[in-house]
Order: sequence, then structure tokens, then C-alpha cells
Amino acid sequence: MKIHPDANEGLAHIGALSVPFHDTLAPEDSRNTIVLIHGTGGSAKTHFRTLFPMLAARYRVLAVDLQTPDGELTLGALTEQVAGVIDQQAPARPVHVVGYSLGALVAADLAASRPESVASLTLVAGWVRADTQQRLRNRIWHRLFESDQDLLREFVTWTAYGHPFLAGRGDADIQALVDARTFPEGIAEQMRLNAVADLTGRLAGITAPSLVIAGAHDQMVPARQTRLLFGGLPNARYAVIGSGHAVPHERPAQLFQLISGFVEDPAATPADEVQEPIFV
Amino acid sequence: MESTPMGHPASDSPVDVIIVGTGFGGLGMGAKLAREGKRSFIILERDEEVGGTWRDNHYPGAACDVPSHLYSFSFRPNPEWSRMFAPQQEILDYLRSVARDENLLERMVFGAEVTGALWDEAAALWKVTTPKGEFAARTLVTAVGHLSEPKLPVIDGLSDFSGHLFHSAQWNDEIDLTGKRVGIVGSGATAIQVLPEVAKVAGEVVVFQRSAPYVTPRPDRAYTEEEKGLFRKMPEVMQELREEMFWSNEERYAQRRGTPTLVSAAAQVALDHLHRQIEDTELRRKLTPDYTFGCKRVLKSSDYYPTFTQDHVHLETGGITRVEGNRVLGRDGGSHELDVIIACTGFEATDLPIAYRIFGRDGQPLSERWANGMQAYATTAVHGFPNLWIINGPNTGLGHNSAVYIAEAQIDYIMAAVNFRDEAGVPALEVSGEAEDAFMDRVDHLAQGTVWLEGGCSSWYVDHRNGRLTTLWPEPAYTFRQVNAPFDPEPYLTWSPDEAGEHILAGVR
Repeated sequence: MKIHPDANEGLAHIGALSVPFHDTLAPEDSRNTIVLIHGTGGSAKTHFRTLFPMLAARYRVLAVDLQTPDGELTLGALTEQVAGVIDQQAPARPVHVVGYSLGALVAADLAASRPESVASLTLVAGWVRADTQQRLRNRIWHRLFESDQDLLREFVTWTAYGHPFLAGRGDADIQALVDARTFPEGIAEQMRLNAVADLTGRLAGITAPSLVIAGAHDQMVPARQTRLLFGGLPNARYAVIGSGHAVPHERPAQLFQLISGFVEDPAATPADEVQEPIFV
Repeated sequence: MESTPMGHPASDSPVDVIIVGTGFGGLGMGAKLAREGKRSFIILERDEEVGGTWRDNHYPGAACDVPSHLYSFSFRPNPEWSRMFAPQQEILDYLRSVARDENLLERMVFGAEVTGALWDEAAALWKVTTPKGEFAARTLVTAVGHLSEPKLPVIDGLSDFSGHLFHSAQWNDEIDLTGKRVGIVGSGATAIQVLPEVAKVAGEVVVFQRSAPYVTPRPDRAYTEEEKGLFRKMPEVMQELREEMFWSNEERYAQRRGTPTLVSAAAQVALDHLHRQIEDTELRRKLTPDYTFGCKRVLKSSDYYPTFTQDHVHLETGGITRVEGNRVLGRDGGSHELDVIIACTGFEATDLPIAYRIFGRDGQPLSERWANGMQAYATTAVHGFPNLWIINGPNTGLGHNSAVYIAEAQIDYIMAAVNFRDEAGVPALEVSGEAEDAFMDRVDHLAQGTVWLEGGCSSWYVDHRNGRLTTLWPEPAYTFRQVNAPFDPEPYLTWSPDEAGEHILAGVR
């Protein structure tokens, strides 16, 4: 089933790679374009199944399924895929780029290397450079990936979701989350990239209005790491969601509210300020 | 007026504000006015105590579908909620405590059902008639709820039923159901709460179902003493919980946008629930809905389906042709002899009875203004009805989140409007007809593509007179507050004397 009834599925050919995308473009649609970039081990469908339709009610949405080529994976190789899809599908106007997790690093890399393509930048649960806490988890992940993928499913479930989210569910729900965990092709290379990718020094040149969103209970990319993006970006505001790393799964509606508000009026929260959660 | 409670003005001296109703809407409005302390006001209540729908709906098993830490006032968090989904009695006790602690009781007139409310243009006052006397105020706020007038089913011979007949919202406590043969008409939000409780005592129960609802598990649990202690000591923990509940509910909105992947995933949760709880294939078939998930209200219960596996509980899906004596005759030729019929058939939602009792400029009844379906600017103000504000009126229902959140947004709007009017020194505010129509066009536009209009079912969400979504807000709840809470005087008109000394309508600024 398509991610959304209005989404056209297509391929962009970038070098030797065919990169799938999902695009709600319709004739006469002059609405803003939002480009969604998923994270490690994900796809548009697995990471944005709820966010995509919510955004599609207000915007043209273009989501990319990142491919992992043979050989050592670099941030630049992923950024090139997103740039290629944008060039093919949405070359006319700058687009609003939303990147989640590893996708946030790709989005920032895109904004730094092709500022003319990016109208605004939203970085969800991203980071600048993995610290020792992150690299320790990364090492455990690789060892379990080699030795015990059943245990890895449980470990990833435990680290991916916020503790309030997990604690609020029954044992059967937790088991369903564990069982649903898959390790798609290329995930180990993406995990290696997570440990070494480095945006240090590159953020200062990004002029696009930016929104940095952290998960308060994120154990994979702790908020203390995500907020360094806020520290480095010259035109950024910062918001925290009461979620673990799986922000688009745990709080898609709040993520939608933040992205939509930001795209409508990027300066509604002035640069350098922390955006308070809306009244509930 | 003999029964004037201490502290509120006698009927012949106007007050600033009259509030009608003492449910969440009326009490919330009263609490905000009392806290501000700038205006005199009274609250009219048709019954003898507060509570609105939570006073009336005291049937066995009555509880809320929205978790209690969310289904409560933002300005009055309650660390004592016993369960995630508190029972009716506890919600009613909460409302009583709000009335008491916000000093609202002394401003209430009980037994004061509004029989007429007339806008007196010359005096710029609302004149309100009740059995307890006549009252007058600059501002009239109705908060009578959209689920307050019980609706009985139209069945031939029902009124001559020789046993006992009552509506779930008018539960007859005099009748002991122990060992009785009980018919439950309906299978909506009330019936699924009533059935498991009635089945515990009745000798035989027959459920007459017109269309099967989607039922999802109800993850209810009691809060521990440690949790309640923490809520008392660190109220911010309650607020975090409230936000988690709010955003979790908001996610369900995405299912209503007619996205097949999400709709089918959500429907599957309900169907899996049915399959886990009911093994009999024929019973499963009867309990399987035949319309798109979310089109009608999605229900929550973990004990509804299992009730049907008991030998003394029966499900009839063939429809009722008529009632004769104590027998209910089915379209399929079957019949049931019953001692009691409980109508769990819902409420008048699209045609609000209070509209027949409100008369605006030139004596126009609100019901006439709404003859083709109700509509209001910002969900609260109606052209032709100066200084009237409606809480829980058109487009204020939600299929997925807390009604208290909605009422609070409206209350904030009304407070700002009344403050603006008084600061501007004008006697009345009336929204322009153009602004009201433009607002409704916007709501219509937002409703396109939602499951309520395109899900292929008939529900109380859509007004059959005009095919419009008039009871629900078609967007996520948070945008209700964004769109409808901030007050902008731009679309408002007021009276000002022109050169001839007559009253004309002109923009406020």
C-alpha cells in the first residue's frame, strides 16, 4: 500500500544507484514542498507513516528512500541522493528539508553544500559528532549484530523508545515492537557512518532558518548532543519533545505541529530562542 | 424572587454575565470569571446540582473515554484520580469540587431551566426567563453541551411498552434489574458501558444493534499510592502525563484523514481485539462493522465483547419492527418478552434544543437562523445574536481528543471578547454575517478528505439537512485552540448612534 493515496512512487538515477521517492506532486499544486529524509535502518514508510499523511494535508511532500551503495558509506554519498531527487522532482523553488536521526546529518550537509536548494531546515534527533556514550552503544550494536540478532532486537527497542513510552505499554505491545524490528540491507554500514560522521565546523555556514528538535528521553542521541546543533547553527531555534529517539513514532502529531508552525513562519520563534511547548 | 441564594443579584438588577449550564463548559467559564474578579455573573442550572452530562449519565459503568488527567481543567489538575479512566462518580465529584473551590455555588440558581432568552436591543441586555424568575445580563454564555438532550428511538408501539422504559441518561434507579429480562437498544458509546454491568445482574439481556461499532482495547489501570503521592508533590509530573495523553490522542487524528495505511492499521487493532475476545464465527460476523474505521465514534472497552459469550446475553441485528405489550418484535420474525427496555440511543447533537429558546436581534430564533444546520464564527459567535457566546456549539466535537481542552479555548476567546468590548466602550459585539460564512467555508474546506464525510456511514457528526460536518472540528485539537482561542475584533460589528440618532451597524474599528 502506498504511504499516502496522493503519493506517486518513482525512481531517481544517481550515478549507479536508483533512489526511490514518494511525491504527492499534483498539477496546479503550488503549496510549499517538504522533503523528508529518514534515519538509520529506516525508509519513508517505516519512519514517516504517520507524519507523511499529516503533512500531506497541508504541503506537497517528497520523501526519499536512501540507498546504501557498496563500499564505505559517507555522508556525502547520502546527501548526493537527496540532492539528485530534489533536482529531478522539485528544482523550481527552494524546499523545506526535514531530516530525522542520520537523516538530520544528511539534511545539514545538504544545507551546507547547496544553500540555494534549502528554504528551511528541520533537524530531528540529530547530532554533530558521536560522543563516547553514543560510540559505546554503537559498539554494542555491532557486536550483537554479528552474534545475536534476537537480543539486538530487544536492545534496539530498549534504546530507541523513551522510557515513559515503553513503561506506558503492556508486555504484549513491547513484544510487538521487538518483533517488528528488522535490520535491512546496509544498516551496518549506516551504523558505522553514525560513529564517524562529523559536522564540526560546518554548521556556521548554514544560513537557512533552522529548527532543532530533541527527544527529552532520547538514549541513542541524547538531547545534550542534539542541542549542540542548536549551538552551532547561526539561525536556529530549539524545541524539545517528551519522547525517546523514535520521535516520529512516539509523537508524530507534536512533530507535525512543530514542523508545520515553523514552515508557515520560520521566524515565529526568533533565532537563538528555545521554543516552549504549546499549551495543553 | 424568593429562592435567591445568598450573594447573587436579584432578578431585577442586571448582571454582567449569565452562564447557562454547570458542566465542564459552564463551570470553566464561571471559574475564569471568578478568578478575574471584574464582573458580576450568575449561573443558571436546570437541575438541582452541578455536573451536566456527568450528573445525568449516572448509569452503571459510566466512565470517560479520555484519560482523566487530560479530561480535566488545565488550571485545576487533580492528583487524586484513582484510575487512568476515572468512573463517572469521580468525574462528578471533581466538578462539584470545582464549583465549591472556585466559589461558584453562591452564584448558581438551581431549578432554573432557561425557557426563553431574548435580546433587548434598546437596553442592550439579554432577558432570560426561567421558572425561578427573570434575569438580565449584558452577556449571555450558553454552555448546555451538545450531548444533553436524550434522543429516544422511533419504534412503533415503544411508548406503549408494558414494562419499564427509560433512556440511559435518565436512568431509573427505582428499578432493580436483578433477574429481569432487559433489552438494550443501541450499541454506541453508552451501550458498551451499560451492557457489561447490566449483564452482571439481569436474568436475560438482549442487545438490539443497528450497526456494529469499532471497539478498541481500553488500557485502564489504577494509579498507585506512590504515583498519586508524586502527583501531589510534583504537579509537573501530572502535566507531563497530560501532554503525553494529549499528543497520543492527536496521533489518532491522522487516521481520520482518510489515509488507507493508517485507517487499515487502526481498524486492524479493533478487529484483532474482536477476534481475541470472540471465538464464535457467527457472533464475530454480527459484531464486525461494515463501514470505514473512524467514520462513527471509535469506542473503547475491554469487557464489552466478552459479555456476549455469556449464555443469557443475546445480540439482535435484524432491526425492530414494533413493540406490542411487553414483546419486542424483530424484522426477522423473532420476538423477545422483556421487563425493561433501556434506550442507549444517544442525544440530539445536530439540532440543539436550546436554539429554540434563544431569540436574537429582531426576535429571530436561533433555531431559525440554524434551520439548515448550525454554524458559528470561531465556533462561538453567531450573526444576529449580539453578546451571545456559545460553548460546545457547532464544530466543537472531536473524534479523538478531550472536550475540556476545546471548552477552555472557547472560554479564553469569550473572556478576551468581553474584555475588548468593555475596553472599547461599546455596548455590544456582533459578528458580521460575511465573517461567519467565510469561517464556515474554511471549516468545510478543512473537512474535505476526512473519513467523516467520505467513510460511507451515517453518524451524528454530519448534519443530514446540509451534509456538512457541523458537530466536529475537522482538524487536530491543537489547531482548534490556535484558530479559535485568539480574539480578533476585525469581523465584529457594534451599534453606534448615527446622525439621525438611530442604531446602525458599523465595524468596531
